[in-house]
Amino acid sequence: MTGWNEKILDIDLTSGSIKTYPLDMNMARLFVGGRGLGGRLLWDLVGPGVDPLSPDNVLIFTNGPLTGTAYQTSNRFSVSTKSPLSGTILDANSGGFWGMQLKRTGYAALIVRGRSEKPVYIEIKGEQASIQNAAETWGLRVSEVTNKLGQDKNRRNVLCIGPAGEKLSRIAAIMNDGQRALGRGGSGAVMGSKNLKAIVVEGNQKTEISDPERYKFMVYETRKLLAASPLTSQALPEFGTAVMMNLVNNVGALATRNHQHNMFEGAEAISGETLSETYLVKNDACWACPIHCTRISKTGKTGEVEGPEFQTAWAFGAQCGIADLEAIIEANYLCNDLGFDTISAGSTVACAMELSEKGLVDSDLRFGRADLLSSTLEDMAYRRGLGVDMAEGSWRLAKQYGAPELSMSVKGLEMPAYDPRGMQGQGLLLATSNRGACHMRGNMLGLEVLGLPKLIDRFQIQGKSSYVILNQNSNAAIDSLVLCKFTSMGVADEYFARTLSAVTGIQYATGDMIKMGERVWNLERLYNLRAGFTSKDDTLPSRLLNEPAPDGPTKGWVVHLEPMLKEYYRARGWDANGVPTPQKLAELELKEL
Amino acid sequence: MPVVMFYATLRQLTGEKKKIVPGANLREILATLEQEFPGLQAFHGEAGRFRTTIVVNGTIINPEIAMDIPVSEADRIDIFPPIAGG
Repeated sequence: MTGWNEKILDIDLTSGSIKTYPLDMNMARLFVGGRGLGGRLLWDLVGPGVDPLSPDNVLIFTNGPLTGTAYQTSNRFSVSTKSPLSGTILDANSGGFWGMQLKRTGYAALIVRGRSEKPVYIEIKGEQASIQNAAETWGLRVSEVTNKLGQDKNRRNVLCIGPAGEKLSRIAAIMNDGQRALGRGGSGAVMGSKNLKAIVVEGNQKTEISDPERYKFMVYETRKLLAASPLTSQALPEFGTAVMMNLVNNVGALATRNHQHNMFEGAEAISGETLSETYLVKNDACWACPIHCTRISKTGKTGEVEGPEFQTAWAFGAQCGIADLEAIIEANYLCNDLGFDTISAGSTVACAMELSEKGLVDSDLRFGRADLLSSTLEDMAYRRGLGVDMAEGSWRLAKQYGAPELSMSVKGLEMPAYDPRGMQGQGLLLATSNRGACHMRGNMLGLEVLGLPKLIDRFQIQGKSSYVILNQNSNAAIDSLVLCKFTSMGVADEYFARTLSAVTGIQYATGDMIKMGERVWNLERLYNLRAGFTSKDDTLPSRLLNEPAPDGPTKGWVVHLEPMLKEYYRARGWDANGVPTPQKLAELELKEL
Repeated sequence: MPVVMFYATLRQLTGEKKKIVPGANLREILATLEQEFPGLQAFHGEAGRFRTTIVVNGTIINPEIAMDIPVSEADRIDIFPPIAGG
């Protein structure tokens, strides 16, 4: 079959063995690549009893058949592992250049297992892989190690961890190409636990395409559609993702001060519009992406750096009660250089601020204290003072100080910017997300706020589950291709199916894509059930279920989760306890699991 | 007369962040704005793919059914061009 690299590279850092073996092509057909393929491989490799920070956990880096073909946004790649933050199945994906370069080496997946005695890095040149001594880079920050190991545009690309990953922070990210992140869930700590500092890739193989003429036509059509959509041709390139700040705030759904409020008086000051007027230098793009949503900002302290994205501007902004964009840009840069997930880091700082204000923690942290952001992040990365506990993420932090209810997280993963009291469907989506609270597993923003493809009542309870499920399945499919979700703002799922068919020679219909997404979702659910999660974990912080929203148009609302959850399980074809039925598993070709 | 707030590319089109606009309902307000800023109509887009988001006092308006709701001096109308993010 074309499209896929049909080989897996498997490196055991304990023994030093480096093996290659064929990719199971039936598995590839069913799960395609990225999140789907990584999750399926993880099912076989990491059982329920495995400690995520032990040598028995693995890191699985995957690409997909479209990766590196130059189809729009085909730069992305994925990592799958068992999360040290949530204990769930975890995948995270990232853009930039590294994923395209991994594809050029000729491998569909790189599996890293075991633990090296001393710090090492992996170098893959073409199909040749080697394990190298990392004594000179261990301890360095992300920008330093990326430069030292020879990052070179689209010829040689570096993926690494920073001090946060080395110190096993459960909210540490894996960084690639300097300032891109496999952000959520603590994969950086897994890499740190293996004494693995970096993975450097250089390749020159081209992806073989089954029907080049049909593929070229799809690239042409997709380019036209993305250029015609004001979302991908105007809003994202000109203002970046932070353009959502004012809208989400004005409808009363912007989580503020650790979700104590749902509107932020400083939203305009941290918005995409203000960023464009002040610190923005230019926009930029990942490999093969015409959208150019990346922000390049500059402050006196940082020089020219990437970001901030909407979620980051929110996490260090509204969530911490900080309306200082300069401080947010600096915190964003510091997170990238130390190797933190910005959402979890910002939300953990916000949690510490509330714990301090309530007298549960002895610290100077208070909402609005922008002056403490940098030193707090340094303390978290190097585990100093309160940073020892904060490096564990907000849930363990809040539990440590006797108030776990003050962690705004689901299954231990910190929530994104939306206050679901003002978006009921978003509440269901976050509660049921397989890797914990995450807006990238599906997002009800389109339906509940933007009216895309149609506007539905954001406070409605009944009937929400079917929209949530469609969103989750569709996103799982895009994550398995692996493409950027922003393409779907200009291009329908049908185009992805036609492009995948042209590249692989297998005929995928639109319905096959959604079914593939559903298969991935159910696989992830089975993984979590096997790890001991139950329907009781499909919930939200008690604040959002019991404390009415205090502000604006959402005032008085809590999330009415219970009825939505019952409807969701039924609509998923699961039993009343949220367990997929044998019929559902047979329908999805998951019977063997 | 209600206050109309502009966002994102609409600030570039209108050159303003806010404006007091005469009109008894949303339809009249938008007609007045479209007359003053001829490019505005293009932002309304195409239902199902992208469109302007209108928020009146925090309530998201469905343009297919609510363009005739009355507005007054006390009202704040936010107009967002098609935007995206996550």
